Amino acid sequence: MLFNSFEFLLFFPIVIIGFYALPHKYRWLWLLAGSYFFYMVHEPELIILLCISTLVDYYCGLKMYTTNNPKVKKRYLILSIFTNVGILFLFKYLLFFTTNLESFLGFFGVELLLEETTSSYNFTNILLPIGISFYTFQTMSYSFEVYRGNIKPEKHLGEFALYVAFFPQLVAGPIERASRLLPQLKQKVSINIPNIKKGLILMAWGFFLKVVVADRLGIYVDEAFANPDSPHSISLLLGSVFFCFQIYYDFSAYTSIAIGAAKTMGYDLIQNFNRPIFATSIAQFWQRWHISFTQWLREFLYKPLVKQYKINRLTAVFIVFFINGLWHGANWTFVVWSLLNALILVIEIATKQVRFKLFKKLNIPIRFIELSGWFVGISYIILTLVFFRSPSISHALIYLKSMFTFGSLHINILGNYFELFLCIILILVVQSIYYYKGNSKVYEIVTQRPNYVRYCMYLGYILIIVLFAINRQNTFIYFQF
Amino acid sequence: MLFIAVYLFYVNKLSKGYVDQYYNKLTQESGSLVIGLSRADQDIVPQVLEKQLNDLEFDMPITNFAMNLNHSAYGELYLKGIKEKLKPNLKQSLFILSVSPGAFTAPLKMKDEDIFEMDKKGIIGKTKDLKHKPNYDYIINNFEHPLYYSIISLNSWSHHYAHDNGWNEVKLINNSDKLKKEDMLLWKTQTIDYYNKKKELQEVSKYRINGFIETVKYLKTKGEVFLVRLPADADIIDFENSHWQSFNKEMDSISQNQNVAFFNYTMQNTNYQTYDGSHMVSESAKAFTKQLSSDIKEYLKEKNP
Repeated sequence: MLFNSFEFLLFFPIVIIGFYALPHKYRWLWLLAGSYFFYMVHEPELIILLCISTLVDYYCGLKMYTTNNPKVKKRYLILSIFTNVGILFLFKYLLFFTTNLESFLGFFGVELLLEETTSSYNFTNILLPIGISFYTFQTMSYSFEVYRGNIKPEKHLGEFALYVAFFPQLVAGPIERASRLLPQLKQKVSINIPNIKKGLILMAWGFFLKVVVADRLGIYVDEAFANPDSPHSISLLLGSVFFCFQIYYDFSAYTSIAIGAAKTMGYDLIQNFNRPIFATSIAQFWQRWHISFTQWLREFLYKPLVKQYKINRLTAVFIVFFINGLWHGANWTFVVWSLLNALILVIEIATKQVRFKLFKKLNIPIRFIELSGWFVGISYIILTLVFFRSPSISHALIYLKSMFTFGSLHINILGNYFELFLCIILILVVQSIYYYKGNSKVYEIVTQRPNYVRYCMYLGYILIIVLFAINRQNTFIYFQF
Repeated sequence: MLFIAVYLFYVNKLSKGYVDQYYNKLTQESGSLVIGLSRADQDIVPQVLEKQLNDLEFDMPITNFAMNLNHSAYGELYLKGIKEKLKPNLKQSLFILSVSPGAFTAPLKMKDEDIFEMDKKGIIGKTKDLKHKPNYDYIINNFEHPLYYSIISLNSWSHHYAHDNGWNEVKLINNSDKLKKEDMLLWKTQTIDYYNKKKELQEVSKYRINGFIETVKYLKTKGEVFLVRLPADADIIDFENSHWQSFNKEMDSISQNQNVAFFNYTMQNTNYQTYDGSHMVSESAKAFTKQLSSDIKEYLKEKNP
């Protein structure tokens, strides 16, 4: 179910009313049923994968806890990883793997009919299950934590299933750790009006970001990326800049709605963004962008690679970013995008001391260093995102080449200049709000006002959504991952 | 509730002014129809047909119900839309079906059921009500612009005028200016580029051809059916003919099998001016429709002396 759909407008109040109306001991069941319904609205048969992942990790968690034998413990961890990565591989990467293997072997003159074989199993024809990368990584984090002894396994299957399927964050995160979310799900929650208000304001903010801002930017982005060989360099440049903001607002919108929805029920989800656009370096950007996932990668991939397997830190960065790219999609474009980020990150880390010494020697003001770091960093992020958005590497290269050819400085405007102006104003407004309030306290722009101002703001909000929303039910970009 | 009330208020406000180029095609019951894609949408003028064919007493009004490949491609859904669009108890209707190679294509290797699903995302697939004014169903499901357009209309091109009968007129000269030659040349280049890209992604579709034949069969029971291949710029027609060399023959064969007329005007491209190589400017569209009317008259005179 899409957050920005009429179905959700009906679904959400019913879930909340039922949640507070029921005694605490039945709430998990209500939320679990609601979460499964939420997932099954479009692809009901794919719920089976969610159930498999839940059951296997529940079982492995219990078994890992009850055994003292490290080998047995490891075996259950491997079973959990194998199941989740196996599901991901079959449903997300099989076709990618077979076509690449075929091309690779074809290079040596070996011909395979693997693609047909996979088609005959019908894996290539089914849709990518929504949220598969999110819930498999979330359940794997549970297994890792139980394996490391950080948490005790959850004995209540229903509550564990709810942790895996909790509808606000099921399909696009944030990827929650069991140690954070499970205790909250067990806690008795009573009606807390300020929390409900904050939650609803965050949700409203998310809707605004999605239907008014991100979808509006998306119109220009779609047009620009549909014509990578366009002679209108400025339009392409605008398309790539707008895409950076579109993906940020789109994902941030989803996260705000998820966090807001959970907050109305008294649960706190992890913040996924911390003003990433204001990051003054690539390293800082990755600490502020999709925080729940980068923390997952750091905790369960980077640290074991460096500490356990003694891999060089810089090599580990490349491995982590390779996985980061693949996680986003079964396409080399995501891998290239991610590795380009790794490359600059490694350069940043490797030259950090030399740069600081140089800046000190030249007596360059810190403000100037930060500003130039921000400009270079954001420009690099914008350029690499061209790979993220393009369907193929060649498409991205054509796009970048046309963008820097400056064949025509004319802006090929879709619609009218007012809409373009509106896009720029909206970016400035959203960035100003994020600058002053951060991503997590947007509700303060409303809650800290006197009553009459708040009511005017509510009315203004309704008018803005009705009059300025883009009338398309676009899915959230991160749904595809 | 307040949100819904405000939303409906602005939907209603929008319905009172200009909505978009397709809205007027879905606001009336029709006696006769112009069917096809964007060339038919802009090149065939219902008011000229009504005037020129007045003495033949076809069911009125004539509506231009042609849109483009995304919304009115031949197939199950377009036929369903045509059936719903027509008045009950028709006596003698006129149906002009525009044909061109592009009208019979679909994305490469796409299965029939997937083409049907794709068509469901078009206007006719998304709109249940095809004949009432105001048509809220159309606006809610198809209007892709923001609703502030109900207050300030930024949606129309000054050379374009959407008629109540569904014809989309493009004027060479409007009150203030004339379309520039270099712009028209650029648009023609873009049209050819578009066709070149499309040819890589599309193929001739049995589903579309069968949908077309089914449409002809149904319409024959309601009145006179004419298949028309419209004139366009010579480069565009050459492009089409080079990619589907037997197209005219196949249309001839369908027209003979179905016992309906097929008029091919592609050799007359020098008589009519297009603004982008494919679609006629207003004056040419009117002149062409006049020619078409006279050919229809002549054909019917020969058929029923």
